Amino acid sequence: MNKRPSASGATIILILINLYLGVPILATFLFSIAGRWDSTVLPESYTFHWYVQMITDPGVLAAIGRSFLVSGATVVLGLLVVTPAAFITYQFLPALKGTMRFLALLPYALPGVILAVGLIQLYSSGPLPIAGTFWILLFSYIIVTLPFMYNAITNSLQAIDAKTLMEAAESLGANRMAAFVQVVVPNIRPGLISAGLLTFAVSLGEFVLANMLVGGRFQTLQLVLEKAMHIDGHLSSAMVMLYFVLVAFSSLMLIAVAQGGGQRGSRAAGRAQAGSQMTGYAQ
Amino acid sequence: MPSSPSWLQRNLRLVRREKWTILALLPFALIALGFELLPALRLVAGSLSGEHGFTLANYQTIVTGRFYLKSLQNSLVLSLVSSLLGAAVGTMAAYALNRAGQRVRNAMMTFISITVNFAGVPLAFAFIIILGESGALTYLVKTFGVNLYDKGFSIYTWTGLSLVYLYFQIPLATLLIYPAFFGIRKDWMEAAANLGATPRQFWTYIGMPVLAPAVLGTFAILMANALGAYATAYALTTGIYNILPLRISRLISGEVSHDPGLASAAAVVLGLIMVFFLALNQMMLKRFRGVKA
Repeated sequence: MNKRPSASGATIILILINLYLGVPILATFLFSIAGRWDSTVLPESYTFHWYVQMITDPGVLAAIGRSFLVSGATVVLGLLVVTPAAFITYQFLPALKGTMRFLALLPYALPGVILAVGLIQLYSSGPLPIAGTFWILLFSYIIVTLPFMYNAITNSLQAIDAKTLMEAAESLGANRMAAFVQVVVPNIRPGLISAGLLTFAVSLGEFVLANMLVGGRFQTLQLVLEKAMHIDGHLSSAMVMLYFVLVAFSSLMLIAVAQGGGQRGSRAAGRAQAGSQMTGYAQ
Repeated sequence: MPSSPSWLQRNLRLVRREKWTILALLPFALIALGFELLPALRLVAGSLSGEHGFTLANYQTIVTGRFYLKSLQNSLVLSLVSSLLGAAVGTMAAYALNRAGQRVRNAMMTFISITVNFAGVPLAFAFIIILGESGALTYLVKTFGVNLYDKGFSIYTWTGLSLVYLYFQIPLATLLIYPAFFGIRKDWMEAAANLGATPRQFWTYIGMPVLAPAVLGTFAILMANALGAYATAYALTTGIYNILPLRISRLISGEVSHDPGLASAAAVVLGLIMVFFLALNQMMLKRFRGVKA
């Protein structure tokens, strides 16, 4: 009886939200292909000039390289360090599980700006003066992305029942190391890929720590973008679109992994799950 | 149990047996210690120390200095407005998605998952393009005879900031609240209707109470999200708007107002507020699971 009016109400809500979320992205895209756009609602002419300028600008290219380097390194080192730690506490040292959970929860209470205040005081001088270098970014990004790294891995371990798998492998004669590398790791691969994609997307978008800890000494894409946006809007819009495409690609891959990882249930639920995993970090 | 001697002995034996396993934990332990625990401790220690050892002067300055209280107030208001609106819009969006057809729902969920990471500097830039002084939307509205910037609107002050914060709150809220609607079963609605309840009565007495913990928990997450946000406001106002995160950053890395002790104290205050909202979320999460079980 009242299904029709509220169904169209739902449609209106969705349209409005789509507009609110879509228009800024669309406008940035238009700006990035606009030739002249001064005092009109829509651009007066179109061009790819700004994209060409972006990929031929050595400063921007170097920044893209640095962003990929630090994000990629965070993914690799994060997986290498967190996977064994999560596995070992899960499998052999349940006494440490509470500590691990605390460590994986604490970064939520330590957003970049807070973490940076502690890090600057520790590493500006003293025995390990790495403030202003690539290294401090790498290690602090591992902490920032630890919550979803740890959760993704632990959830996967639970889902495949790693305990039984390990017992089976060891009873068949595999030593512990071999059982972990050859049996457990391949089985939790979807979780590792999810964790890696998220870590990559978050590291790529990270600004606070980069700005406060290294600033001009290791200019990432976000830092260069922030400088450029006050000077050259068109070049900046091309950079924003590049960043958007990279993040969108990571999100789509993440959804694909969440749906392909053997998880039954509605596709929308998979999307919600993949999406809410992506919400680890405040910007 | 922990006080009995056998507990210690058992653990010592465990450590000896699992030597290599524990060694494999070492890299993680070092990183967590050096870049998570020590910075947090250094922060607290720094906030409590002055030239002559232990002091509460830093906290006193925050409480008495109008400047710092104002930045805290600005942060709270901005976060509150964007979180309340964000939670409200997110609830409506989750409701609408629940009623939508499969295809619309899948497409929307994908789009929202993408926008949830579109925040910070790129988002600030996008909003300047549409709502800056010469933005497209500002211009469009002007053609209808309304000059937003004469009416007191500016993307660079708190009205604008609220809109931009709202942008990154909506996708997060939608994704977090959406699963809660699964908790409301179709047969409840039918049963209520059979007993003569109007849809309004159903939502007032059954729907809303079931959703409430999830919505409140999400609100807490949104508060934490907005309170800790830095990049968006930094990029929009080149770091000068008076909210707590930007003030902290100027105190620690600024040249004029460099004061690490005060920065640490302000960071501890912000951290404690974050902990409060995260604890609220955990509490609501437990309650929500309780309802579902």
